[in-house]
Amino acid sequence: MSKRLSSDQFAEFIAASAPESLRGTRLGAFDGFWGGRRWCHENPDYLVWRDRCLEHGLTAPTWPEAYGGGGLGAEEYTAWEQALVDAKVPPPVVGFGLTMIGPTLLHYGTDAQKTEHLPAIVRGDLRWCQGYSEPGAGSDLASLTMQAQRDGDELVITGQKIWTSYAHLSDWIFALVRTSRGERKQQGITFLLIDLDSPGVEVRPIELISGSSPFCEVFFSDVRVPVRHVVGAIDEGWGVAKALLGFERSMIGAAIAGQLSGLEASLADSARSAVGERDARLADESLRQDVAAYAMKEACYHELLKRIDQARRSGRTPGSEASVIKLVGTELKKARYDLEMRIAGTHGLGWSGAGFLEGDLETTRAWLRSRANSIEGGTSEIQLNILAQRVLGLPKGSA
Amino acid sequence: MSDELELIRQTAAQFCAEHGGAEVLRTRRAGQPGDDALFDACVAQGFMGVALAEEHGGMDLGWPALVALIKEGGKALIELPVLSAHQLPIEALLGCQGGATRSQRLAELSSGRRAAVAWQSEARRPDVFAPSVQATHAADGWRLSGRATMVLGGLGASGYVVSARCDDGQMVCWVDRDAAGLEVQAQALIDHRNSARLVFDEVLVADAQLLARGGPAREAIKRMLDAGRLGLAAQMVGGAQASFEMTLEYLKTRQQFGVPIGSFQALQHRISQVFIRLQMAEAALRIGVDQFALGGVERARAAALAKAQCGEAYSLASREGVQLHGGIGVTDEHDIGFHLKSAQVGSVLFGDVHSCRSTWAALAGY
Repeated sequence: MSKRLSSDQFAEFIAASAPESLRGTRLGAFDGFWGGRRWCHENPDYLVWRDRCLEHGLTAPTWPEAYGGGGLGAEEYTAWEQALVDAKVPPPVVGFGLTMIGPTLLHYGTDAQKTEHLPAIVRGDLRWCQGYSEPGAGSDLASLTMQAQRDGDELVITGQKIWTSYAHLSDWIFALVRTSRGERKQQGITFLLIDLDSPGVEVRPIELISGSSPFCEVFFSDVRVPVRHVVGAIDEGWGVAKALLGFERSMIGAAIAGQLSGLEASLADSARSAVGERDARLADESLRQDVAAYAMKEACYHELLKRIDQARRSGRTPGSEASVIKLVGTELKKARYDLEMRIAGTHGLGWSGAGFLEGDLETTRAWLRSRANSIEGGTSEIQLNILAQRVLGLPKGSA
Repeated sequence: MSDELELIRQTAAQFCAEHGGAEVLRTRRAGQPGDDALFDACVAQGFMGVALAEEHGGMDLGWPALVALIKEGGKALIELPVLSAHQLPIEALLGCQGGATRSQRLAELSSGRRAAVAWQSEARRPDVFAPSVQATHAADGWRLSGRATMVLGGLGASGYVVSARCDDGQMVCWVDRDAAGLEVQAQALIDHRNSARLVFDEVLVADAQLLARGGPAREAIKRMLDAGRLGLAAQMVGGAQASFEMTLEYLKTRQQFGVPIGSFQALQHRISQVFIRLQMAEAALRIGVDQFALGGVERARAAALAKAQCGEAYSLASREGVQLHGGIGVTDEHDIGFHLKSAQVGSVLFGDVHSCRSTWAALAGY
């Protein structure tokens, strides 16, 4: 059983336990120890930090202590996160186990599934990825076709997943498979946990316009999966799938929030070095207006997050508000990089080679990468559909 | 929202259902431009006391309560005089430093005397620090000449806090409605809110009526500007919400091609974008209210933020509202057109979105 710390001990604990080499390295909520069998990082201190936090259940602070979590309440959790941010220390474990499949199993998993998978997530022993999209099922996710045939107490899987983030670094995948065809396409979908080391699985990375990518294609040919890895009931996985999408949208919103914080000063600085000043103001008034417009939206976005966080911590699972956050956050992120590219001008046109600064090259790649933000995890258009139909109560589309 | 605020909101909603709506604006348009009865009703209802200190018999709930009130007015297309004819002159006075006249005027305003702030020049983009009323020193005090326009709540006021140009920059003084040489002219704006043009012709201001000069006068006017921005932001969020709601309702009920037009994805996305803008505007308004009491740079930045975001949200909600209503949306019979006009007035007065962004940027040093 872990030794539980109280909120006023967090800062002290971090000061005493966080390895020197990790201090000041915090970037966002998703930068840190991703774990898994394929984890390799030159800095062994990530493991030291993980182990020290594990003793107090602080790798999964809000999860039940029975699974190795910290059992923290909402306020204590906020205090813990704040203490990490203040010390600029990365979270001890990050990844989709903690943010997506874990919360889903806590809600929908059997006791056996929780016992099998949650402690491994808490320790970061296994890394998870998400097998949802298929070549023919993107925004129209429910039309997925990857087959699962029942054979005794196993399901035999054949088909393909795409846009699977970090599949090449993951150990397990939570996937949606087609076990039957019902009247509605949402029927007959099963939510399944699959070990990627199973025979018949092949992973191929995808290259994006930015030149690199976390995304992969995953091919399954006659992959045998024990039936006990079905979450929820066979043919009835769609509800589980949607709940997980809610967790995913919240996660994306929160991950982006960390990247879109306090950028006004640095944008103003780079704008100043690009266009100069007149009377202590940016010499280009239209650029000045755009920096201010961006910063204003950023401020509102954070206020929105704060409000939604309060609601969530009072016990509601993420619903419609996750769509607002996902949409606003990703559009804001694109706006931020568009603005950086505008400031960079010709310096933003380099891919590689002579005459370019490292920082400019990175910005350009990040700009290219940001174009995917409003596509992955449910396109902005899908979020608008969700808002219109589930929140505003408009009838399902006719055309 | 606390229980107290929620109670105020409900009372205001009921009050506005009775005293507001497009019909009131049509009456004003037809030649009765003032809102004396509305002001009296607000006083009778106790609205003027919500932000008033308890020792003066008020509820001391400050801007959160004012914003709740003003927002309800915005939904019902009326500007409740709590802002322009009450809180704005109070904020200007609070921004001035000490003095017997200031205390006396504050006491009068708190007990329901009607006043307004005259600061705006006739420029297309008026600068709060460049009033066009000119004050010149005279043997018996000061003489004011020139014009101030779009004095909100100015019709029916019994006195004015006037911002004027003088030899050391700017001054703020008090002028009674019946001062010799002052003419108050009714102005009809497109949204028919209470607005007056004040013409000063050698109006005498005794030294005792001078409230602030130079730096302190600028501070007072800055505070009034921030309050005006926050107040207009609240009104515009209310208006944006009403525009959004009536448009959403129309999308659900209006049938074309045998289906509700709200089943078309193109329209669903447009109304959802309005919904998101509204959420952002509400967030900006919360920031504005939270930071108002901090004063200084925080107050000014937050007020500019609230005004810019709420103005954009109201402009979008009313413009999309007119378009999505189709033909009926451009008729005088329908309310949505009044929202379009109110959004335009609210967005432009006290600095448009560009001016607010400029304030925001300047205070961040760029």
